Amino acid sequence: MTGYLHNFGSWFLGILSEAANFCGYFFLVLKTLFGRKPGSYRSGLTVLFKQVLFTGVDALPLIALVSLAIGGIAIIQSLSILPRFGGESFVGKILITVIVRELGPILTGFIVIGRSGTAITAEIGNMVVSHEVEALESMGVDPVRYIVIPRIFGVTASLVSLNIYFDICAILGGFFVSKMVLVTSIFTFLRRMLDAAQASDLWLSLLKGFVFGILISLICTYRGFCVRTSSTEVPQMTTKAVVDAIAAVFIADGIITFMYYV
Amino acid sequence: MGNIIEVRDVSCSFNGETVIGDISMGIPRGGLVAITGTSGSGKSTLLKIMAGLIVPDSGTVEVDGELIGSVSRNTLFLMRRKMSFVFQDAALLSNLNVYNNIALPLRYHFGMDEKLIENKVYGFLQTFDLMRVRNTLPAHLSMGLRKLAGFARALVVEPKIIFFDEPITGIDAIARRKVIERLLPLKRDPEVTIVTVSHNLDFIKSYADRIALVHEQRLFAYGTREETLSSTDPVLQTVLSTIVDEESAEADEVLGLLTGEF
Repeated sequence: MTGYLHNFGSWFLGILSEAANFCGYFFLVLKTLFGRKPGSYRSGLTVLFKQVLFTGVDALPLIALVSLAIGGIAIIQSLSILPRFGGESFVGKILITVIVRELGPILTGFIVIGRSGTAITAEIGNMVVSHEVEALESMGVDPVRYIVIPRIFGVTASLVSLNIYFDICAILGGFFVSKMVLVTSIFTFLRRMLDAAQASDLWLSLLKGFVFGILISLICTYRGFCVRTSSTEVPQMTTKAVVDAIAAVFIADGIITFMYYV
Repeated sequence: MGNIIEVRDVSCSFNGETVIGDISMGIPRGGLVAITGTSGSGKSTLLKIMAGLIVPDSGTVEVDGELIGSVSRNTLFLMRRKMSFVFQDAALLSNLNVYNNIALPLRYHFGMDEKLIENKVYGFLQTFDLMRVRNTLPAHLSMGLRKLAGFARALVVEPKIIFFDEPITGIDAIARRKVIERLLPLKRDPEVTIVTVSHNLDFIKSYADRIALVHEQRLFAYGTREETLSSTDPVLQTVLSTIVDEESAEADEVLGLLTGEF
């Protein structure tokens, strides 16, 4: 019994310690972002630009594929059930509710975690192992300013944009299926969408994208710096980054949805 | 003139093992101080403690009148504009080519115009015979060229203190000659202080003004080159005789086989 208690206690203290370390890292990032620091941001602009290219632009084909499929699937599932209850007119509302409010931000977040989050953690971890982070410090280049801040901006801006792109492609996917099944015109379909959509749905989607982007970039950069000495720690921290980021996305989604609608 | 670096009662341990035990020494302004000793004696750790890259468990390090452990992060980064550290493996940023690696501290600290940066960096590329590899990524460079690029990056900010970890280890005689040729003018500059770790006795005997011998994590001997090398202490002589630069000997052997010269 004491063994189990001991193990539980160790585990719990470990969680608290990790949480404390992450909070410390978060405040360091805030302090670097808003504090007066020597050095130019110019050298970080290249990092920011490359991050937007990788996270945003390179993800467009995958996002299009997933969102077209999701939009089509959502319509198919809706049309398989709703007509029984005379609910064809709710198709647009379902698409907006399910995709714009929930699936869009979450699936976009998952794709960004899988593509960019893992790459960020692995890249920073390898930089730690090969003493590149130490080299930056030795040159007086703040690693948080040079490595972390551009990635936070890049990932967040990309995620918000990809979210909008996801919603557009999902609605298009829904339209293609609707056209096949219901012989709907694009104008009728779009009118139904616009009738069902509210400005708050779009703002909610953008807010989620913004919050998810910050969480994903903070967690993945933090896990990269958690690598200490060995390259074998890099894949371990990458896995932890993915798990932590997915959990954070779900928790944040729940909190935002609760605050918005309850 | 006082010492530019003052190390007082510094101790450091990793995972419960003592790496540096209670070391005190002063580095005078100007000239070259060589820290030598057997492998695992704590030489590189001592160098990094002096450069403020490692925080010791106890003791203080004063650099040019400032206590490194007590200053704010901002102040430390400003101090690092006057200091440079050349790592044993150069620690070049792997995603930047040679030109951008050398230009990084200029862009970050001084916000110089790109044309001025280009003129300055090209000057260093020519001095270090790196023009032909200026667009090459570090992964595609030999160790000798990486060391030269790391050296150029360290010198581009015109530092007053240069920390050099194993400047000529693991490179062949030709690359070694190039490094030494670039090092000698700095050694003669009374405003520039070089602190280097090396276990190449030929290099130390030829170029060091002062020698610090670290043995079993303690400062075994510290004095001028003449005092240290002419000491009749049998223990000191035994320790000196056990210091062998195996990597450079191997590199020379390979070069000798290829060229028939060495």
